[in-house]
Amino acid sequence: MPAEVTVFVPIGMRPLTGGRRTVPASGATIAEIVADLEANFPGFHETLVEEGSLRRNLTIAVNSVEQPLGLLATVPEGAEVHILQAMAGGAVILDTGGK
Amino acid sequence: MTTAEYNVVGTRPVRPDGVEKVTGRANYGADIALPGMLYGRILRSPHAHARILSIDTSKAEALDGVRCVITHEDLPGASDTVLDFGESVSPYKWVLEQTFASEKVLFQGHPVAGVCATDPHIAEDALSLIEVEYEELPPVLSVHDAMADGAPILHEGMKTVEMVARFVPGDGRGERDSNIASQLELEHGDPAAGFEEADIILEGEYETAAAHQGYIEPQTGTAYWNADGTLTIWTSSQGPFAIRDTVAHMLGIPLANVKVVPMEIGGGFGGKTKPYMEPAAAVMSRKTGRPVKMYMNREEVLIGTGPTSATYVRCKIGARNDGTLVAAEATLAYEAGAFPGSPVGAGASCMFSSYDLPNLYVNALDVVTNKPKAHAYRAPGSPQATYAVESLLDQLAERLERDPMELRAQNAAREGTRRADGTRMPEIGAEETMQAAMDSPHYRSELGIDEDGRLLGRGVSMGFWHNAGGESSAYAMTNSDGTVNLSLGSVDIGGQRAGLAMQFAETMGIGYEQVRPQVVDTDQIGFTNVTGGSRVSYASGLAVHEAALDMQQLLTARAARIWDCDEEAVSYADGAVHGPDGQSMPFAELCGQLQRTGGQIQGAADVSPNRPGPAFACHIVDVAVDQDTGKVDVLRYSAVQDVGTAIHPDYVEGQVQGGVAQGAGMALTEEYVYSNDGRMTNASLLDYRMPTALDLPEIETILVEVPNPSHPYGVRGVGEVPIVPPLAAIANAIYDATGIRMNSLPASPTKLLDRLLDE
Repeated sequence: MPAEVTVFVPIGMRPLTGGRRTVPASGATIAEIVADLEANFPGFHETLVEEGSLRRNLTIAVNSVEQPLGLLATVPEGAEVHILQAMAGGAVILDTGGK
Repeated sequence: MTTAEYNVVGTRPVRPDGVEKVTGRANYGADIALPGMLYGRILRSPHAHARILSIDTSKAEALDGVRCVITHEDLPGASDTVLDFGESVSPYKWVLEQTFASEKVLFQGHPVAGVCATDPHIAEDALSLIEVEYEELPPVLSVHDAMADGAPILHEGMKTVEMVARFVPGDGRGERDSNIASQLELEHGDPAAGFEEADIILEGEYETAAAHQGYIEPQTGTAYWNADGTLTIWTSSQGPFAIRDTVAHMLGIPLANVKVVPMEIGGGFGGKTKPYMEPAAAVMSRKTGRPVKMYMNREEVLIGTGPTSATYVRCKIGARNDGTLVAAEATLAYEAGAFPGSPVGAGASCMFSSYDLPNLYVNALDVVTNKPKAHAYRAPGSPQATYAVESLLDQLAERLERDPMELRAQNAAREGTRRADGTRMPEIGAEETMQAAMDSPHYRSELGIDEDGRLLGRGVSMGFWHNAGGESSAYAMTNSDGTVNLSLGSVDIGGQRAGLAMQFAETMGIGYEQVRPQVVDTDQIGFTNVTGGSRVSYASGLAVHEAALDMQQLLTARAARIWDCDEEAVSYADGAVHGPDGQSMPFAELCGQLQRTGGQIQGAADVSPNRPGPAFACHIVDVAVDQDTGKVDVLRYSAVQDVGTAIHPDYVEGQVQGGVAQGAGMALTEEYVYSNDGRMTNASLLDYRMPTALDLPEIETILVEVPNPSHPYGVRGVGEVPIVPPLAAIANAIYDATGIRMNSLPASPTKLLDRLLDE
């Protein structure tokens, strides 16, 4: 059963949502939420997903709890979904940044 | 639940590694001696920024006793893989360049070549025979220089990327080569509207110097590449698995072929979570077929490993006249050193977290400079950014004529408060920590007058650290006499063996003395993240708890066999199994019967918890300032901290005191000092001035216990947050004493005296 959730869009991704800070999305898992975002705001999939997994420099929090399962994590009805910069201890995870 | 309800948790037993350490028998990295061992040394760049034109190793190779010389050409090629060191990560190509420079050297101390020989002195002599031709380039030595128009570029082709989205940011920055490696923006609420609502707006700029972790034991690394293709590494590291994975990736060998043996560790504080010499030792071992031992001297530690970042922070806060904070804004620029990856993201996410701020914007920049690559250091990034916020709050309290702690408490974060990244706080103890500080004997005391005529002042500051979870493994084996061997993957840098054995004993309902914990090598335990991020007592604590529950399940099955009843009819409680007909058998007695019911058993667990309890600290400090010399003496220091539950209060207090000492060093004396050409001028512990026991008073600790509901004993991490408040607390105390805002730390006597003379 898909859940209706609110996705908080980080500043760096707001060009995809026309500047909107939050957008509604629907899905039972983060993967489905991403698919729904992609349908309404093209570009989200490429920004969030690499080789079938959440990009390494990102983490997803559902109701403020980070989800190690990434795209496989389930989402409850009414959840707040945050897209966050992944941290390892103190450092940000850089992906292949700095190229 | 309070610790009063526990049998073992909250007590203060002797640590299992204590006797070995105080008698000098504990084996640290440098104690390794193997038959046929060779000794490796590293040739380091004398220049902060230079192009390598040529490297001639022929004379060194010809020296009697030299077995091999290696350079970047002996390492495999770069790829886009990202390596995870637990408390930091780096793209592989940067790790490779850090191990040995190829085209350019990017900091004084950058490794250029390695030598191994039959004797360490021969290896040292051989270094001087390696001829390297450089073309010197202008060095970039601060974030300001690095971000200036026309600044020399460290990495040709590097563009600024947005950390989360990986888009290039606007205003043209992402379109040209830049020393700004990446940018992270955090926002919630409406900052512009928030500042419109403010009656008072305060703004300031703050700078801090690079500071080293200051562990007493220098880095070591010994490697033996066996003829069968397996590699064994002996090292003192906070993350044996991180070392294993990195070296295996660098050298292109399967993880299962690399074993890392964690030696006792003489301090780490985040600085020993990545390999510095292990890859070179492994390559030299492969080339020679002999074990190769390497170790740094103190100068190499200071110039060749990663301190925490030097930082620049511009911060603005807005408040109503009643003291309510309504908006905040900050720009952070942290030096990453020679390669991208400063802790600026953590600084951005932590700096305002003690408070309920409805409107917030933070712009964080990761900036490369010609200095050693910054590395994790206890609550990485948080002390520097917090210094800015807490300095402004001190000014706000003064402007509003409010008690500085009451003002903070009025704005305290609580469960549900949004953080800078927009997520909400779980159950936390910020308010309880602030209240305990206000109730403390120190805060309620009078400052008094100094008999020597020095100026006295008092300062306070809050501090926040998010703490971490992550993967941990543990397994426990019963013995027939009722003792247990508990194997751990977490390296012990602060009493973890004792603390984890206590949690295991508590769950099993047995005595601490029945449990013998040991840290084992990477072949003997499941993957375990680094000892860092204040994660071990929480995550590895959960692992030993789960291992105990697993053991209980096995024990009840055996008891059912003995009592010839259903397993479901047997329970385990209070250190004994209990049967359906009133039978009961204590743990030790049952262990004695295991061999005739199928043999001894093992309880095991692999966990990866994701709900660490955030930590808050509030510090109060009294200082005396000598107007003639600018010297600041810390007279009294109280550290209040929400520790969740203090498993072993002695070690918790020790962590708090250690964090304060290091933070006081960053506030008052510790800094990397560079010449104009980028050479560190104080690369010894004589000139790099860490506080000693003679410099600090006894640090009073007040442990607040607001349990983390996501841990069976309420554990929150405790090791990192105590380094966060000292910078601002001491700077605020100096202001209280002198009327001078030290917006640049450390507040060294020279710097403070200049300000005193100016005013």
